[in-house]
Amino acid sequence: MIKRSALPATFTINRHYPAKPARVFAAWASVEAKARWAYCDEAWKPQLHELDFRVGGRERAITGPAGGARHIFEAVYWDIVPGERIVFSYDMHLDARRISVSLSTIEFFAEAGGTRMRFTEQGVFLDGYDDVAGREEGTRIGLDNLERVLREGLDRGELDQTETDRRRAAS
Amino acid sequence: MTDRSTAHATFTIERRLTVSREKAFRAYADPRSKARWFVGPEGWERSDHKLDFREGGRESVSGGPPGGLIHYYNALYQDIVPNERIVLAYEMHMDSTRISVSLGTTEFKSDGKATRLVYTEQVVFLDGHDHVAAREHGTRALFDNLAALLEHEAQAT
Repeated sequence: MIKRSALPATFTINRHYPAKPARVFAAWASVEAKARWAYCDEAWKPQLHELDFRVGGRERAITGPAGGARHIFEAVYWDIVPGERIVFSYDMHLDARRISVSLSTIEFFAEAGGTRMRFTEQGVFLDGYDDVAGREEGTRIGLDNLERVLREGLDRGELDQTETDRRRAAS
Repeated sequence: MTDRSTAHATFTIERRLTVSREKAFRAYADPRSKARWFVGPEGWERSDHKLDFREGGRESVSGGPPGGLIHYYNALYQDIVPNERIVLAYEMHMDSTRISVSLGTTEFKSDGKATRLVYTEQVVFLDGHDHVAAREHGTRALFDNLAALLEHEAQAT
């Protein structure tokens, strides 16, 4: 018999990205863009990733280590303001066990040299799966990946006007 | 153009209910029972209450003071453990404006023959609409309704 528990926890991560809010937002808005950075571990090949990015739309991703537990992410989008805000709720399963339900808010603010992005997770961790620090760490890894993807885009010449201006001013 | 902002908050409400947790849970799971206590203040008009109580199911109701703003509640059931726990996500609209999105966790804990109900809401208020004190106040009023209904039913049997 499972011993039931529910631990609420909140964490916030702030990041600066060297790209305009519209580009950072776009990294969340399609399955092609999101697949480039959203999995915690590059060795985790997604078995499935579907994203219907609109209010009321759903997202589903199944990943995990080869031969290990399947990490199943299922989300519903509640609020989308293009270039400015995304609110979604999601749950995580490890194989058949639901380990958490969360509400995530992502905000995009234009600032000098790019975008400040604020990620807030309000989660409830279930039945002893209360590794809040691990969830935050996994989220940070994803956001690190996002920074790398955005910088690779810049190196390939996908410069934003803000970045072009900054480089011109610096030279 | 709307000036975008968010305010995140968490509040917890505990209630001791004088019935078993099976009965307390039934007041959430049974659409007719839920519609009796999940109602706005005295004098408000309201729509039909719709409840599909299962994981992935939806609940919705709208209402408000006569001639005033329509308050619209729209929920999605995320996790249901019979007699033990309910986790749902919900949004509130005032007329056509989305004012908040919340995660609501209700735990039912046995306390002798009674039930200790623990409700935790994690909420993000959007664009300066509503605030946590008012939300908590409104939610406490719902639990007053629930406690009164269960008390009434216990005395009737």
